[in-house]
Amino acid sequence: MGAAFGFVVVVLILVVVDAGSERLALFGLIPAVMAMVAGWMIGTARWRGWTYELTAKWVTASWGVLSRHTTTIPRNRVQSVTTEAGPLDNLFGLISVKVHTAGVQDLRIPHVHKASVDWLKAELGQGVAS
Amino acid sequence: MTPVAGEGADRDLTWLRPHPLTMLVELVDAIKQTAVFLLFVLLQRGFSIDTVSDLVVIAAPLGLAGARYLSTRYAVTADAVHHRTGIVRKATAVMARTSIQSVTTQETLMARMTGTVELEIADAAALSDIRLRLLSREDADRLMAELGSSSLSVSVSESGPVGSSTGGRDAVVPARVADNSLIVRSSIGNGLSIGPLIATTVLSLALVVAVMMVGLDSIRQHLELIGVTVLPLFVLSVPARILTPLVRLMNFKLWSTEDHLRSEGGLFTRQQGSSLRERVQTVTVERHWFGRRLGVERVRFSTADFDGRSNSPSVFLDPGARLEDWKTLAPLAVGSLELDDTNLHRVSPLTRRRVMARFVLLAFLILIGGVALGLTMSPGIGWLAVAVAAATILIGDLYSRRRWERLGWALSDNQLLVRAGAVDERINVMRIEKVQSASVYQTLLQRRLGLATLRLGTAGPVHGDVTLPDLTETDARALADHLLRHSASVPIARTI
Repeated sequence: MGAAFGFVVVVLILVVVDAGSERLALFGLIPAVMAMVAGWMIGTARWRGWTYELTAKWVTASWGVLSRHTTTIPRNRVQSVTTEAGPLDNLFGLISVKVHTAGVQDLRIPHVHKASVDWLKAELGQGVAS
Repeated sequence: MTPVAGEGADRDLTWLRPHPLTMLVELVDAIKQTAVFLLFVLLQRGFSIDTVSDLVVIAAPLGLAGARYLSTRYAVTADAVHHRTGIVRKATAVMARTSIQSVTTQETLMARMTGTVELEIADAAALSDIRLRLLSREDADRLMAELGSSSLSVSVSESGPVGSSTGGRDAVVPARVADNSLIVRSSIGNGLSIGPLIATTVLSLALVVAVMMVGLDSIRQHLELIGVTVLPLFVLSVPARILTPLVRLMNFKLWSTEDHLRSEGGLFTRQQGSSLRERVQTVTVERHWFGRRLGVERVRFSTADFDGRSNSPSVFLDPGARLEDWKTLAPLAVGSLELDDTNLHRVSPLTRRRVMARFVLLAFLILIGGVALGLTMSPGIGWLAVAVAAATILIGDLYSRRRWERLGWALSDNQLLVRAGAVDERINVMRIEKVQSASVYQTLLQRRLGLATLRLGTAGPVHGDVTLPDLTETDARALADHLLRHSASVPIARTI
């Protein structure tokens, strides 16, 4: 999305600066549209590939399109849970959740809907370090 | 040390200040931090000090150092260690004594002359270690004795307990006495390890290609520049890799008590470390190619201390053990050894295909590049590229076979052992209960071959994690499942 947005901005600037240059606008628009389509396809594939599961004993997250990762953390190993949201996330009501263990391996669940975050934090917090 | 009055809720604490010589260390830090500004001002004034404002600027580092010293204090209670710092923004760190992973001391040459010590108390969290600089040796001894669940029988003031024993619970057992010949061999082996050699070879080849492409005359014109910039780095990198750890690790000794692991080493700056044995997450044996030829290996104990110097290679790394000595050292941390590196489970033979794919790709790129250069410049380059590509494939075949033969793992009721490395070998031994998380990872090629990499996270830093590549996907998931079930049944207090 960001790349496509950038392309569109560049094209608009070029069009404004060199108004009437239709060929220039066409050459700028084509990559912009391609970038948007590619961004949509990649984003959809990444969304489809990202799943998480919470059971009585552990929390598991899987992600990746070409390379697949699956990380599992026993719930009694959870040290803390943090959340973060950028401006775009806030616009769509999404929050990324990070589950921390005592080591360097953390588990990330991106773009969870706000309504689900409190439940997720409460569930993970119940199992914290017991 | 004279106690310092506290404020508010801290009034009941007996606050102590570091040694006054700390101001000297703070002064050096303050000068480093204001060096650019001071230089700018002095340059503007032509290095003359003739105004009050200049005197104030020069005195700024002194004032900063003094203020930092006066604002730093520490206190020890039955439950925790308190540490207060900060001039304007005051910060108070409180570390529960049950959270302490390790305590280390560092004595530079100057510190040893002045009878002072820098002491660091580390817990398992990131960026929260308590660093006290400087303390007198007596204060450091007192603090270390207070913090140990069983008091340490060896103090900072003593050079080492070899041959001494206080008996009973605090009996000190020398696990590794100082053997500098082994440390020298290990440093040479590490310094000549395959990474720098490959870099040296690649740089040499690049120089040859550059000469062939632009001609020796052009190179000669820039020889002086190359000689001043590139060559010294090139030539000095290998001896630097040998000498730097040597200076930090000479006179290394390792001891154990019933509860603690203790180490000491260093030629000019002496470092001592102490950790509860049950805090050790993994034991890693490193055998560099040249080190094996010289009959030495290195044994690293990774604690849950995330970032402090107590987990730096210089303190909980035995830098010079004889080959196979890890079998007597590892039990200090993991308990009685249930596994060894013979008769291991092998990973899938398809791992060779995955490794070969990289070498084939590299050979293809060399071939394409060489043929292109050969067609445009000299046919000799093309034939050279063909030879190099063929050699790459041959090396790949040997490397992939060797890697597969050495890659293996073993599992008992309580321990896991993983061996990896084709040229520089590595053995990881850990107690299963230390597993914090498990990740199964598959690249595109691994998915096609039905392989997966298993990575086990511990409470230690990155090099404390254990990675097992190229298991079959079924084995990877089954092993992860088994280890997680075992780990989940153990309270976390035993795992950190």
